[in-house]
Amino acid sequence: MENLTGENLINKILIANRSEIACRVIKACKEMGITSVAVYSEIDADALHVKLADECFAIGGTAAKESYLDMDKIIKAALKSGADAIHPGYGFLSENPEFNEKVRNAGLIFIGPNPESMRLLGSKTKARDLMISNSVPVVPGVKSNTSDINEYSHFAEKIGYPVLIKSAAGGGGKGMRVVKSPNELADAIDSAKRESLSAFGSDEIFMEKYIQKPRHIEFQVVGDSHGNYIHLFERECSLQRRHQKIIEEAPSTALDEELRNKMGQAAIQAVKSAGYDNVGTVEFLLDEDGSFYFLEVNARIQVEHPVTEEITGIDLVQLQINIAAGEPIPFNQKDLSINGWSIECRIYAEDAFNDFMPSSGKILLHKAPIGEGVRFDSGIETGTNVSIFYDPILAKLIVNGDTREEATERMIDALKSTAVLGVKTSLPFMIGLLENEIFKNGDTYTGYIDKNYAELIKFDFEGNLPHALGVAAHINTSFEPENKDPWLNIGKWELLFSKGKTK
Amino acid sequence: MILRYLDKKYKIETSQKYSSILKAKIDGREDVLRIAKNDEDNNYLPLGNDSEYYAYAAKDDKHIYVMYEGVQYIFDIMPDEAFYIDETEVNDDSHEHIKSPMPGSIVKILVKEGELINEGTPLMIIEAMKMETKLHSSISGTVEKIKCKEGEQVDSDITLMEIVKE
Repeated sequence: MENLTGENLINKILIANRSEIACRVIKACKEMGITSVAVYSEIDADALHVKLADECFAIGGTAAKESYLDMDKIIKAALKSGADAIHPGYGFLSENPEFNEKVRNAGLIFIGPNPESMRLLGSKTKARDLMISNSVPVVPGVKSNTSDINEYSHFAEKIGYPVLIKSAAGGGGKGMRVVKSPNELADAIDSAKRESLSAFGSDEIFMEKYIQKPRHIEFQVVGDSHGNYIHLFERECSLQRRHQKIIEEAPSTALDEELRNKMGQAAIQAVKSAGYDNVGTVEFLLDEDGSFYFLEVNARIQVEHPVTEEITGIDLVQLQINIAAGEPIPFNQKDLSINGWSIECRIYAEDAFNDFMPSSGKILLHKAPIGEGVRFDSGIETGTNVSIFYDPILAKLIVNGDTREEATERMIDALKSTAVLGVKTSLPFMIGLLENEIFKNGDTYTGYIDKNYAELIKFDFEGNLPHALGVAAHINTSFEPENKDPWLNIGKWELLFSKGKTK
Repeated sequence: MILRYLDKKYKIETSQKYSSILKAKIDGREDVLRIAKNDEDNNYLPLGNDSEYYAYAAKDDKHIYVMYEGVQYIFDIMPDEAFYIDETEVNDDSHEHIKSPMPGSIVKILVKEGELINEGTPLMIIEAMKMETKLHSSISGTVEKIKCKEGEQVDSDITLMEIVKE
């Protein structure tokens, strides 16, 4: 990218991250002719992102706070390497306004929004107030310590039952009550107040609309430093375990053109009101009746950004870099459209059949999926050590198709042809989820996996077990051919013949 | 050879005439499985199974790992005589060995040696990948031995604590 005097502003980027997102940013750098610099902790010396980058810097200890979270070490490495900019990826320091400022104060470009907007949107209460004053819908609620029951019941009638009562001071579900009808209200308020007082020393409670089966719908938005704003449509991220997304898709089965426009405009309003100036995501809860409520803004690239790239044809990481260099958004809202359907499965190192227990160890063999419409954003290879120190995401499998059905079919096919041996992964659980009727009908909601966990882990392992035992015996058998004459060793012929018979 | 999968042992008899195809019989059953190996791509094709997917395999000292249709089967390699040992005699159910479910670090030990505990008592907290997991006792009894320290890094499947049944 060139500025008005014809100089390139960003020629070298340091990536303050690891694993698949570091690899993803390196790929964007290569395509733009930018030199990439990786940083790595002790345990990551042989990691894939270090091998792929043009240059690399060791930044010390294995624990994140001694390496990937150490602002000064990272900025020092960037200055030493001669980088012009830092890309923070997601997680780690990506949404830390202090890091954002420090990078800029060191004379470097931070690839992300300005620190003021990041700070404003990072505070839940400030962001909520900002949205209310800018007509972006939030979950209706009221905070009070009044003992006048009529005040609460009046509000509950106004927003409609069921309502949720929670401690204003607390968290973690303490003092939380779901009230389904007016005659349960008085008891619920009393007990919530008591619990709140004993747990947090305050009987101030918060009452809000209870959304029973919300979907998590988020909008990809883009702002630049010239005051332009667009959205790149929605992502459906309702399939979550422990409040963490595992399968995402774009578009969503829940939105029609009218709702899409309405939510898209609200998303733009949300970031515009904060003076946001890069790629970001506005998260909403969507109620069954089509009402939607602002949740939060993620001021960074998202894990699930590829599904948006697949349906719009826009490279979001390249866009982040160009905007950080001062370029305006190179297209208008009316230039954008949704093409086809895209799904992403996050491949985690975990045992989904044992309460999603993390798994670690060495990947003894890895085979990436291939196939039509398949994209694999990965941080692993054969020999990668999956350590206990970082997030368990290994790779993301993304597919696209003309329709949702085609994308789903391609995804199941791709999952079944992937191999990750030596650590446990979420692959079989993903297959089960995608083959489930609820997914096929597109009727997902955020609590779905937790609520149906027992059903979802009924997976048929037995059917293929004899064949798997046979394969295991094969790898364990060293074969000494009786006849060394290769012309008599006709194994391949028998294989072809047999294959023809099974079809 | 003998392989164990989810506490069940399987005896596999093999024969091989050509390098690419292995014939296998499991637990003396009549049907003979035929597994083809593709040396070039380092994968396997179970013949006679109506599947278009290849299988992949790897091994280390203790286990053989097989990935087939998105599912990983982890087999324990057993000594040949293992098939004839009745495990119920070997297992002493007056003791419970609390083992680490995953490699991680011991965050906190919640009981002391000699302490009386009930079924379901939380024994310790182990952390891996930013997630804490509580280990509970499945029996009531006495904590006989604690074999780990707070802050220690442990591998998976290591005995951390021994409980004697009431």
